[in-house]
Amino acid sequence: MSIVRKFILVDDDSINNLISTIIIETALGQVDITAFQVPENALSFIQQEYKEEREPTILFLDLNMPTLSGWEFMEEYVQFPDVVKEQIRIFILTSSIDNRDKDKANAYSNIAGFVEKPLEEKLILSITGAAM
Amino acid sequence: MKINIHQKILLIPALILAALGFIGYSVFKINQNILASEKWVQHTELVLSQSGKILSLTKDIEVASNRFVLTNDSTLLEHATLHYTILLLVGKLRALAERNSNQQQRIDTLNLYVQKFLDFSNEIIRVRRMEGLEAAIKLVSTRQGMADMVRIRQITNTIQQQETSLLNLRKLSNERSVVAFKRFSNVTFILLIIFAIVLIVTIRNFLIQNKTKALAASTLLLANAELAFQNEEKERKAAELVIANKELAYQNTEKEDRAAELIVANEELAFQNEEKERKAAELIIANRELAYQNTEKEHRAAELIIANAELAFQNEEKEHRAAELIIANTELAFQNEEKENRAAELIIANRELAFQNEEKERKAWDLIAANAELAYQNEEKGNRAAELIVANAELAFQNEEKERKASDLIIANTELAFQNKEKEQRAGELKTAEEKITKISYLYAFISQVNQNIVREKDQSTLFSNSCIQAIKFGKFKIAWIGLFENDNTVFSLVAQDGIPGAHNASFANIKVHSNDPLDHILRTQSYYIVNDMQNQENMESWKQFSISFGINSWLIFPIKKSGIVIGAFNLFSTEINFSSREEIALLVELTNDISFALELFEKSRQQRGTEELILLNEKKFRSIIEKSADMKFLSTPDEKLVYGSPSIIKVLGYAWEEFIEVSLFTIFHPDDFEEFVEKRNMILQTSGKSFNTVHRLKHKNGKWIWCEGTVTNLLDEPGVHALISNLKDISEKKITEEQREFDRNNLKALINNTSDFMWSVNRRFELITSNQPFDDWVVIDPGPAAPMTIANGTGSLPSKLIRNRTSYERAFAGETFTEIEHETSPVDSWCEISYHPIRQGDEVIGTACFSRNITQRKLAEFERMKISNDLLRRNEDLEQFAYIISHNLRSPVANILGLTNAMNLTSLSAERKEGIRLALNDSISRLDTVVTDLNEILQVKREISEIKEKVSFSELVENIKISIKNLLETDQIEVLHNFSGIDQMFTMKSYIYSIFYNLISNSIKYRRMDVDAKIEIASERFDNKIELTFTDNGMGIDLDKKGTQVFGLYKRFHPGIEGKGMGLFMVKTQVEALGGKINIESRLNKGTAFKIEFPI
Repeated sequence: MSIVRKFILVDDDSINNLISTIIIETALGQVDITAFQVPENALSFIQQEYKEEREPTILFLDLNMPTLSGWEFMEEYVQFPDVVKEQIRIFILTSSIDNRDKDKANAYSNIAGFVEKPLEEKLILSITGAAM
Repeated sequence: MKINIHQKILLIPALILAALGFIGYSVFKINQNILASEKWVQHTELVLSQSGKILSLTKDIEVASNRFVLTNDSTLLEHATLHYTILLLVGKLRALAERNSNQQQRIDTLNLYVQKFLDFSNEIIRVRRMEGLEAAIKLVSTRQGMADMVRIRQITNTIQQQETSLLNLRKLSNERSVVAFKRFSNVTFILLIIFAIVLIVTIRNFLIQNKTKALAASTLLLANAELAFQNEEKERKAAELVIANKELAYQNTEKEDRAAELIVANEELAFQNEEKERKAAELIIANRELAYQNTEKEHRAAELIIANAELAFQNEEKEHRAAELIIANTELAFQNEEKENRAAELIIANRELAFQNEEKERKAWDLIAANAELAYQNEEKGNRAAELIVANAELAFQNEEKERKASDLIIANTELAFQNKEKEQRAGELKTAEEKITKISYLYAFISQVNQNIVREKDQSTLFSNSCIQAIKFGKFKIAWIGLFENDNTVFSLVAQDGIPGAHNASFANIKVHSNDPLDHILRTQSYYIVNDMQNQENMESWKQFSISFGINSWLIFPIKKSGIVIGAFNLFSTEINFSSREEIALLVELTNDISFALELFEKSRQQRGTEELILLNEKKFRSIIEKSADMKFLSTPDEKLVYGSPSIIKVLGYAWEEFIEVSLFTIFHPDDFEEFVEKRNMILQTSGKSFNTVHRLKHKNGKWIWCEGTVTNLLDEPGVHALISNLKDISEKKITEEQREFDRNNLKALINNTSDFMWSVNRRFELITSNQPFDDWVVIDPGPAAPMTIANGTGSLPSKLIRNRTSYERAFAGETFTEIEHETSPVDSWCEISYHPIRQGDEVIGTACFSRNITQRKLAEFERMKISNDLLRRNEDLEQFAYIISHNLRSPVANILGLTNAMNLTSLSAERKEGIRLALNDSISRLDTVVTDLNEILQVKREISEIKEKVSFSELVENIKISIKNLLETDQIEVLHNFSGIDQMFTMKSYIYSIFYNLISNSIKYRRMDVDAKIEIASERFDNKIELTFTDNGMGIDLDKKGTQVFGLYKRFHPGIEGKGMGLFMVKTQVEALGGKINIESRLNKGTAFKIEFPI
């Protein structure tokens, strides 16, 4: 398995996006990271960019966002064509430590994992396959 | 220049007038100052808020630019609008400071730095766009923006301090001018008096002029004193300022302390959250427990219903049993009646039997008499026989005499034969006579034998057969035979004979009776018949041959009678022609009569034997009836000595009746029944045949008391009885059953009446069958013997209460068992649980049993509980939501700080990166601070309301808010309208209401549509128990379908790019609820929003 080198960050909190960028770059070196503070923009970006096959991508999704929550994001996302979804692995990245959120995330087949903030290097290594 | 006295005199009033004018002017001025100072307060507040806004906007711009640098998210660049706003604000601030050149200078400097800051921000954006993150961070790390920012902060602080101190100074000067004016007016007043005195003195010194200087000196002295006083005042104020400074310093330390306290409070809060979660968990457990208890209760209720049904079933069973018992009783009663009837019949039969006995006795006596008579007759006959024997003997003797005489005569004859032919004739005659005598003597012997036979023999056939033999033997007849008429006297059949030649037996066996033959003659005449010449007589053709061959010439037939009817005949055949003389026939008739009599006698004795057997049989039956009967029968003497007792006594009482022979029956009487029994008994003792009914207890051999019921009859005078007859029946079983029934009935009554539940039953015609006491009390039934109340007919109080249950009754009539709850609203809310149980008779439902229970208390408690638990749930949810949001919002910057500090430790980072992290760390920490501050604010509201309530005028409130944002309203063409004609005043907490109004108005301004003139309308309306406030705008609106549930949520924002942190509406809701009110929202996207607030009065 090749190491994933493309990332999308969806979080209204720019600082978290900064932290995630630093951690991912520290772990993997130069990679392609696109950060969105407005989830709607991320959705239209994905719809646009992933119509055709592209690089496998990991998306970190925050839950608590003002205009569109992570769950609402997922509702839109699951309606995307399979070709889009096959390329993207979504991880919930949240400051929430509420188990209900964790349970809800488990209920989505399109969600690959639930990560508590802050993002850590070893997690990146393990989920991208770089640790092997 | 000297002033003469005249001039002086003129000058003084002029001075007084001038002084008065000065006082007037001062009053006017001071008032104006006071008025102006109010304006100044507002002005200062505006300056403070504007400059604060500038500072916060600057911060926002800085944060936005930094974030853009980090994320390159172009939506963040909407803060370009902030640039416009901030410049606008600076312009407004400058306008406010129009008359203060110092402030204007500062504001210009501020403007400069703001411009610089904006330029820098724009530069950063440009660099990030054009040259990328690294360059941008590099630029940011020059801290130029921060330096500008610090300057802006310093200047705004200075402006604010200046403005505040100005305000304070103004306030002070106002106060002072008021004080000074007071003092001045006092002084002036004193001066006026002095002037007046001076005037008087001057007039007095009209002649003495040299004292004017002294007066001027005194005036100067006064002015000096005033100046000294003013110096003192200034020193005092300086001291106050020092104190104020100290106070400020103290406040700063206080704030630091509070910050420390806040951290502690945070920890406390985190702990409280944990506590709340724990409590929430406990509540959930408690809820589950409650739910479980409810199910338990339902279970128990279900079990109770089953138990009720069981009870009802048992009742039904009991009723069944009772009904069966009634049937059994009626059966018993019927059997009793039957027995009584039978007993009565028996008595009749007894009497009949007794009568028959009597009859029989009488007949027996008759028979005995007849026997005696017969014996007598026998004796007579014997006598007669003896006489006949004697007569025979006599005859024999006479015969002997005659023989002797004959021999004498023969001798005489022989003697005379010689002599006389006449004498020969006489001898022939004598021979005939002799033959005749011989014949009669035979007959006598025959009769004598037959009579002996009659006496000796007891049966008919022997008598017949002997008679035939003796007829031949002694009567010297040729043939003797007896036949009986049979087949309606058409056949004469042989029963006994002697002398019939063997070959002819058959022809004698059954002789047909022909009319006018001798046998027919006998039957018709019932008298004897004689054929004298059988061989030659005309009607004897059939016998001719027989008579010739056996030399028979005569046939004598004598009827044999039984009870006077001819049943047969005695036939005698003789060889002689013309056999009989009258005398002989008479003898033979007599003989056959004797035979007939004997037959009669045989019959009678046979009949007597039959009767005796019948008597025995009847007696046996009677005895068995008496002795096999379950009833006890006593025959007793008047002193209750037992004469007879039926065997059933053993069965019922356990004693053998012999045991009573020595004992009075009274010894086994129950003492309670004894007296009454004796009284009743004594009443019948005097009258024969009288009887009485009695129910009393007798002691069983085993000591138990047996209830007996029956009659006692006085038969003391009855011949053959001479006793009191008691006929008693064991009714213990019946008594027990009766007692059991009564117990059951009372038990049932107690069960159904001692309850507050209603029980009643209704038949298919909607008539009441039964009801319990509580039901009766409820419907107030007249207990009179009125016809059953008809529920359907609309009379009485019952129908009106129950008529509406008609469909329920019909359901029950259709066979359904069910329970329903009825809710009545008048006069008060009440609930009843009514269950219907069909009453069946066989397969048919004949009515329904109804049970009604008042469950109002339970229902009310249920509602109360539901309300409480709903409240609890809601509060719990609120708390949970609050805890969730708080934890999230606290955790969010903390997670950032964690991530950033982790990142900081990475060695590979460039300096620019590190600077970026430092900035972000700063930002995160200030966000944490903001959250904590917000939290404090929210908790302040959530805490108990301690502020004192006061009268608040809505219109004043709105006007004040309008003034405070006047410039904004003017520049942006925002219209705020209000109509508080419904109600303008409310007694409440002013600060909360102010905050609510301010937040809602500011919300409407924030989210106005830029393409239309914003318009905000506020109105109030008063209802019976509430005040309703409506805030309507024509702004952007919110898509409530999507966001409805989050509108009032903490940190919820719906419009990216518009300043705000999602606190406003949350605070509004919290404050409305803290005041006991409710808030609702209606909104349409791009049309506007309306908030409706209700406060209870």
